[in-house]
Amino acid sequence: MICQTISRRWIYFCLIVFFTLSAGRGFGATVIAPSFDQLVESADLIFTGQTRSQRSEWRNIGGQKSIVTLVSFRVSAVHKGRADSVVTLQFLGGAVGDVTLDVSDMPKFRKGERVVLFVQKNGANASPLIGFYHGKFSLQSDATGRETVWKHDGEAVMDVLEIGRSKPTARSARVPLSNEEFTGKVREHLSRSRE
Amino acid sequence: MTRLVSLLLLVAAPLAISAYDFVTTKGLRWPAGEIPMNLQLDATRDSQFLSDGKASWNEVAEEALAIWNSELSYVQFTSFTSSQRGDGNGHNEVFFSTNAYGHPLGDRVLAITTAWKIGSERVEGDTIVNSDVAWDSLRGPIGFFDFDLRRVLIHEFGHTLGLDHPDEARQVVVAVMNSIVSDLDTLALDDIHGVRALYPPDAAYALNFSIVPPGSGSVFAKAPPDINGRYPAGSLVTFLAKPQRRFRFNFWGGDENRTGGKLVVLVVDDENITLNFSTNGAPVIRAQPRHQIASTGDTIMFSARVSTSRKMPSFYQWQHDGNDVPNATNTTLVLPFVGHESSGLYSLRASNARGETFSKPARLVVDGH
Repeated sequence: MICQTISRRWIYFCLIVFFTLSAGRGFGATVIAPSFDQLVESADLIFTGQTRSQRSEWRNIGGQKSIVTLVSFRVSAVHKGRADSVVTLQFLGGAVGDVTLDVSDMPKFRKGERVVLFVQKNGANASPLIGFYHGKFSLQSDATGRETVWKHDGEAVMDVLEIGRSKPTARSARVPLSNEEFTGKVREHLSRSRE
Repeated sequence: MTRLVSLLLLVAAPLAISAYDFVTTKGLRWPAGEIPMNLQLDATRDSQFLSDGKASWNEVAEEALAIWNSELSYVQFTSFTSSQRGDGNGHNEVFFSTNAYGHPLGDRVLAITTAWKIGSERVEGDTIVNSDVAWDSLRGPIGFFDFDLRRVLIHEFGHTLGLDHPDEARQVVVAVMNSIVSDLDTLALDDIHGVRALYPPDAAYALNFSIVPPGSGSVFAKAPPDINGRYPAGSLVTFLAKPQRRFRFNFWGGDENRTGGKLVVLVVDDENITLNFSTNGAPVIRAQPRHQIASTGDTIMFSARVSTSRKMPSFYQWQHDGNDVPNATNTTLVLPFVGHESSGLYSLRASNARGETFSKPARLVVDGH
């Protein structure tokens, strides 16, 4: 009887380990895609904002020259951490004069674009967004004015559980999350972790 | 002057969707000749036993370069090892590190590839592999504990050549250049077509057309092929579909997968293209099924919106790679627990007494296949 119980527990443990590993198998070629929980937990700043301006400049760190791009955002809501009304994020890569440095997987921004960003170690890391472009979510208004949330690959976010997975589940007849629903999930997660 | 293109094969060739994507548009490809790669992997990480029997990290990189070289003629990667690393020397360096030019990569980054450009000339770039990651060299399914350096380097060297992620451009294709690493461990047709589009080989390819059903229409080319019926690699050719009376045009199929009566082909391979027409009274596909990416065990749904006459009954049948799917006889198809065998093209056949119509095929990619 004891042997059976141990055996069953061992089987359950193995199954849990297997499904946990299976769920996380997909990873970006250069970046391991974070889940929604990992994004929220790892970020030191999460905010909704609008791109205001960007400029690129040379950097020299320990004799290694590079180009960085400084993108400024007008902040409309802070969901985690502290921020002024304008936040400037530093990304490796950009163009100064005739010289361009392109970096694979680095997120790009359009002027006036509204976004929700998950920020970690701004000014230090090559990308201030967790998992490079995985930390950027664009907001787009539909015909009714409802603002919906979109991933870097142009897919709408239907469920935060799909974030960081290699693909969505069956997606027909589902409605994209609105900005309010998405950021509500962020706050819900944060209040759960505080309890 | 338009010219009637000869209608050749009626048998559909293996289906593919051309969808490669580039880091940038024109201007970032390498000039003809050698692309020198300074392999510094062994100098920046201790050797270890690798699952595929390789003795060193540089050997893994050399194999990844050779895989691309086998598809290239305009340019060729060459590899060497020099301890003289630095910017501005025209060498593309490949090495392990935790930072790029002094900027930490972050703990979720496997590797990045940079590209330096002066004006419109590509000068050099580096592939930086995160030394904090547990690496191996594997084949087949991706490992649970160690990351496969070989397929990550194949992917990164694709960036070096100028290719980007097709799936980031909302294209559903089988490709090692997709942003998600999968069980695919070498180049797929889309990767090869992408690199041929950037670096056209000195070759010409045939574009063969078939009309479905026969006699329902014709195709016109805006530029004639050469005397052998071929087009030079890298050329852009426009084709127009023209239905016969009492028929309407539905879509371009086979090696292309587009709607609209005008098709522009960037010639990178031999192609078999079908023109799909239907009779005027047949059902009309108003919304086509969408391509999807899945993992083993997912439930996937395809659906199409069809309009048809209410005066006569309509019938539906889903097909998978041209074969009827059992019990799939309405406009929605649900596939529970998909596996590798579920990959392929799905199309809905809608029919009534006046004729039949096929939806544009939608591709299902499972675990990268």
